Amino acid sequence: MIKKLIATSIAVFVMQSEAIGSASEALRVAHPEKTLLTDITNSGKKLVAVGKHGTIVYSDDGSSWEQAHVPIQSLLTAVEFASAKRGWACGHDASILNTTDGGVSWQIQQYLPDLEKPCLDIEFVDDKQGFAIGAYGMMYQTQDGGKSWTKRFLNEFVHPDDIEYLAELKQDDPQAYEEETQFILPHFNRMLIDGNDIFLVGEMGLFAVSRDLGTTWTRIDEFYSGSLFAINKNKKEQLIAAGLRGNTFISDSKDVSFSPINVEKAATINSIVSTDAAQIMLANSGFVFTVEGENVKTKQLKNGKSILSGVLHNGQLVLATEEGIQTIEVDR
Amino acid sequence: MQSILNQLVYVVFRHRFMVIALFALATVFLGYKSTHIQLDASFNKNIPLNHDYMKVYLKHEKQFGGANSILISVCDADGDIFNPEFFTQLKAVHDQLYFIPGVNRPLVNSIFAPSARFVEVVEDGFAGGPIIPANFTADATGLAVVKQNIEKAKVVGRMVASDYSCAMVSAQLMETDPQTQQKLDTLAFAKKLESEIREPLSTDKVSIHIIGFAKMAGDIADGAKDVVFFFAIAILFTFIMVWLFCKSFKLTLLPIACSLIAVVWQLGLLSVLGFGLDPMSILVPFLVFAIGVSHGVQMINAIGKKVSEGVSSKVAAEASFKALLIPGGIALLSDTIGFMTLLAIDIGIIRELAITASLGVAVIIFTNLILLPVLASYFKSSKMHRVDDGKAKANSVFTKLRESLVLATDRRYAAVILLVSAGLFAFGYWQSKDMRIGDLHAGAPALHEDARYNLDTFLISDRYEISSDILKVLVEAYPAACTEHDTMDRVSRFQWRVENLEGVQSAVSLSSVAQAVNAGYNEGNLKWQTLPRNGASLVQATSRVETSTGLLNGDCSVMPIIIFMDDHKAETIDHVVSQIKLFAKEEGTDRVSFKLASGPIGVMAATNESVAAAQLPMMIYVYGAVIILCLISFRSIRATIAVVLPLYIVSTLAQALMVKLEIGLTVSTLPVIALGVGIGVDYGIYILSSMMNQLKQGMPLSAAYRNALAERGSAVLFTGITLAIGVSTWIFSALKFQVDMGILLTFMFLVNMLGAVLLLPAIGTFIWPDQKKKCE
Repeated sequence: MIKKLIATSIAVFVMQSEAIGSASEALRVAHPEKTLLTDITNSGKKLVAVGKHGTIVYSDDGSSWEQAHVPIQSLLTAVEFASAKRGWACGHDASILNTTDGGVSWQIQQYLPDLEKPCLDIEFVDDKQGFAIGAYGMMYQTQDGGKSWTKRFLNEFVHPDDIEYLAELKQDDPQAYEEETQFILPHFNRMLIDGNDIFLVGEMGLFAVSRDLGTTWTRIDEFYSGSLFAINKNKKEQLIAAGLRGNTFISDSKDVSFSPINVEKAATINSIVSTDAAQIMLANSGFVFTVEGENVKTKQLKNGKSILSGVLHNGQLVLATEEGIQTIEVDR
Repeated sequence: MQSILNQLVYVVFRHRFMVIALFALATVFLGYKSTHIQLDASFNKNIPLNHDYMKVYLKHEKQFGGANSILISVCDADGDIFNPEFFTQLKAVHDQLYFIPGVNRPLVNSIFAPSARFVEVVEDGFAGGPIIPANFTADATGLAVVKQNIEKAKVVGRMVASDYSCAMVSAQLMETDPQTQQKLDTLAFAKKLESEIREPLSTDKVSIHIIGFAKMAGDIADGAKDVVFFFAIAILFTFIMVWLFCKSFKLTLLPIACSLIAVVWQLGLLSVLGFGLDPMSILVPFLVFAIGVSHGVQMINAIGKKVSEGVSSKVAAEASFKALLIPGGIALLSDTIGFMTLLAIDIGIIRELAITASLGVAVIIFTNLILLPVLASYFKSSKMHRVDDGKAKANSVFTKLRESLVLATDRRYAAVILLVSAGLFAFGYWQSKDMRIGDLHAGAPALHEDARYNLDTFLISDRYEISSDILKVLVEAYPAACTEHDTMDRVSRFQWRVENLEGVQSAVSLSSVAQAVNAGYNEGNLKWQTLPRNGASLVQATSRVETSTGLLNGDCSVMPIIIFMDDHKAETIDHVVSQIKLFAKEEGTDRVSFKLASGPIGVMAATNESVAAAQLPMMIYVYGAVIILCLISFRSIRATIAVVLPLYIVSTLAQALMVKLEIGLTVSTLPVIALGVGIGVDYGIYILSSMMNQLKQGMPLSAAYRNALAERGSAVLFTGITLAIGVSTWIFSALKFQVDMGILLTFMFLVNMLGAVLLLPAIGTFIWPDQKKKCE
């Protein structure tokens, strides 16, 4: 393990010596809504979706879309609004953007291409407190609406074998410690904020909970060895976590102990949208799994394109897919 | 000049038997040779090989394949391919195509190809295999597995129709067989597609749809065979009309027979020179016939007239020969030279047409200006019962017509004619500005819209995300360019911009595939579908892509970006190519350049640009030849203007007509403009040469014109109408191309004739005013 870590750190050192140009503005194109879109949300006023080449698009009606002014060209992976005006997006190059005009124009809050890590999700408690999480346990936290972002390293998730080694290293060689911690943690894929509780899912079956708005974290015993990409809560206060190859788990309403739900297609589930009656799980290859209790109904987009995210809008589900926006009816 | 002419007349008419014997020998020999002529269509012939794009194309052709591809879509009648019968037929199509000679076997692609594999992400890494498993049996379980594999392999929209109603087998054709070094016989290949694939492998439930250059050429060749039928109709019709004109079976036979001999000579000479006849230039023999008839009728008209004056047929033939050799020769020579100037255009098929047409026109000088009078001199009492001998009662109509034509030399009428012509010209000029270069319609414009080929094209572009309308931009960089983020990012950005262009369906490049692979390495999570900044990860992502994908060469110093387009309309290509040039400038660096072009659309773009560039020089050459020859023969700038101006107005109007008919300027339609000039010049030269002699003697223009009409006018009117009616039957052709040409040629025969009998004298009224005043 240690050998591997050292090897990795050398690799990192070599890579960082490469010069990387500064950010340039996202190109404005004819059909921005037809590119790979990774996340979509409802700001309260508008639907806003983010994706490839620094694309951010917004729409009032879910059918006609406009491209926002975005200062970077990185693949964006997540978007979140605290109010109709104030929102954030994050993505590759550890980039974090924010808007104060409801998504029309965006500014850089953080852009660290040398880090070579993507942010994968961004969530806010209110318009001040927020988290940006991503690859290799990346976590940035803000208390001031993103004016400043503070890096956090969640020591709690380090493999027990490595804790001692890291503690030593931190004392002896702070720089080596810094490099070592770059790649030691699993990817953080998605976060769910629910009152004071925050749930975090990620790579290698990572499932963690914070009961104090992110100050301390506890890792739940592994119930699945693959990656989890999606988490949501249903009306019965049950958590549903899903991920690689259609693996889906549902918790007890009281306890965070999970049991699997049978999904018939082995398609990776990317996100979960709650409706009044059901949880709609959006997956690769265009699969849409509707979970009602133990019951799972399977549908597939005709074009079979992978669905990354979705949002309810006027009784329809507006989807962010690998080929852009697509709208489907919600089963009643 | 006159003495040379006299010498020639002497030589020819003193040795009439020798002349006929020589012609007979040549006709037998060339007739024999002409039976060997073959329809011949080759892909490279249509390419401007020296165009910049095509240099790029040829440079990379070996590595990345050519533009000559064939797509076979196998479709299920019930719209669902997952049944045993379909898979049996699909496999059969794949295997059959593989074994047809001319196919580049390693590049035969379908879900049955060994290269058709899927990769999927599982908990502990990647898993993968062929789309069709080795132990595949076409039962419910087997088909379910294949369906899953197809989805995993992400070939829906490419190898399988987006709605799973069809599956695709595609192949590339090789211009020359690497083993036998034999040139690909496109038309034979097209036949095999029918006889070895479509016919035996179609069933009630499974239909087969084939598109690609070879198939299109084959279908055009099939349609072109009907040309013989239309040719026969036109000949028969011309025969009847000539007989009505001269009421003499013998005289009727002469222009028809001599014009047919010209066609035989032309075909024979082509065969001797080692050329075939391209399906697109199959109309040229008919044009040769038409031009031949036009000159032949002038000749029998002159002979008949002389005979009716009471001289012997030999004297009449000799006099007519002497009178018409110069104007006829000048007209034909200017055609010949005009067509030969097409050689300057660097596209094989146009050069071939230049040779075909100029040979054909040149031989008319021999057959119709020499052989015809010599043959006529043997006729005993070949008196023409001319409808228009100025005596019979029935001729009052002709006399009236002639007199009304002579009114064109009246200043007032002339002014009106000139004004109307100027108006028409202005309208035509304004319309012809909209002339588009390239094909204006999707599918094969040479075929009718409801032809099977075009229906198949629409089906394929409907049901798949791809078509045969592929443009490749070649990224020429440096060794190991694909391991550098900046370079790959430029490719990615370039591709994204291209994908957003109107007319582009989708695009694929090493960069986009590497991004997908990167997502694959990250558990198939599309949030990772980007180029990793980390060099090691980038290498990992690109190294997984093999050169057999056609997306990179061995050291990834060259990476094609493959662009799938909606169609190949001129507008679409123009727009996409011009934007690509802009992107190439913006994303290119000293080390990375985005080079146009390869793929069928790349070829078309180059062809369109060459045609556009050739248009003006061609017009200059053709008119230059006509002007110089007119200047030499008439020794008068004014006479030259009187001949050339109507021609120019008519060819401008013809271009306007092309715009109205939505015919784009392509390698096959470009020469029509030159041919139109060739058809038109005859009339003007015949009429004016008759007038010039009299004008020189001081005769007033109106009188000179009246005499010219009496001498040659009826023949001009007659040929114009006869040939126009003859070609107008082409609107019933199975080939859209022939229909279009029929309309255009009808227009040119008629309007050029009107130009010669109305506009020419009207112009004359103003450019020879002194003579007129003096004599009135």
